[in-house]
Amino acid sequence: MLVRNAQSSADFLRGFRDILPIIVATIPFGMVFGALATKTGLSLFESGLMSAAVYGGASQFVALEFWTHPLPFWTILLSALAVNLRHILYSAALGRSMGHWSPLQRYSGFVFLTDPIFALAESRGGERLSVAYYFGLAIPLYVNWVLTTLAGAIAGTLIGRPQAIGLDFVVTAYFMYLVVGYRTRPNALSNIGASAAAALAAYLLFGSPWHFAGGAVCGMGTAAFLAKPRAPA
Amino acid sequence: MTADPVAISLILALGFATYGTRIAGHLVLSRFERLSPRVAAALDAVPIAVITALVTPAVLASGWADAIAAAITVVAALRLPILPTLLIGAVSVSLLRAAGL
Repeated sequence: MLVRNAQSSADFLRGFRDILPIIVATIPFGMVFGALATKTGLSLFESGLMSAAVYGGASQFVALEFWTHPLPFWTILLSALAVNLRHILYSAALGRSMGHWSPLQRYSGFVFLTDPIFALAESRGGERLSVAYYFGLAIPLYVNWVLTTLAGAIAGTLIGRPQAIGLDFVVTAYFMYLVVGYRTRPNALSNIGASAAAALAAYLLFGSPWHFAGGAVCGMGTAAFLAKPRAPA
Repeated sequence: MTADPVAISLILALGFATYGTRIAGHLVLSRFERLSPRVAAALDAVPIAVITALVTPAVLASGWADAIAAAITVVAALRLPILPTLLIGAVSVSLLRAAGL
């Protein structure tokens, strides 16, 4: 038992070491999210609650994008859900290396399944993913996200006009950076083109939020249409 | 500030929906031997499609300052890490807006 515990602590620390660079890189995002949430009208509690309960950067920024009064409940819910659909693929893939986990470990582990956690657990966790290694990745990143959100939300009350320093554009730039990062994926350019064209057309014809649905459906449809029938799933 | 019950319930609903996506793959997809390549490609393309759709009006229908700053941001994103890219985007948009574009 002692040996196992020593192994667990070593695994946890290994996870912590692997996630540390990501933590440093995420600090500004948590802060920008908190500041922007404050400027959008969320209270400190609501900003922190969103980071704690949703815990998905891109979907949280998307939610803020549509956050007006009265709240468009279904628009926000469906658009954030759409952004997070990729997690379905993550849990399908990662669940295979969690066969030796207890259900409690597994279903609490999935709470933390964000992009960087998936990437590291898949690439460095091996076929038999260590519980301690996974939580060594997951817990520090989660705590960091919630704390930096709160710090940003407090700092946000000190910023007068976010437009003057381009804070609102940081989110657009962040989304554009993500899209540029996807360019090497199969058929990425046709997906991007189809999505942008449909989004612009829907925006000009019907207005917000139809650009979102129109672009998403056309981009996904293009990907499905162009997929090679025998490509590995 | 008093708590807004609609906002709180929306945030909790977002949390449950997100957790749903994080367990659904394990609960549902893992029962299939193999996912259809078209379904897998469509799911895989969701982030690109969704995020492109989201930024398109902000980039192409929000005035010249934002459109030019967006072009600068794309060039930066092709060459630089994320933080310098965001900084360049924010600085260029604030300068262009201040210039009255």
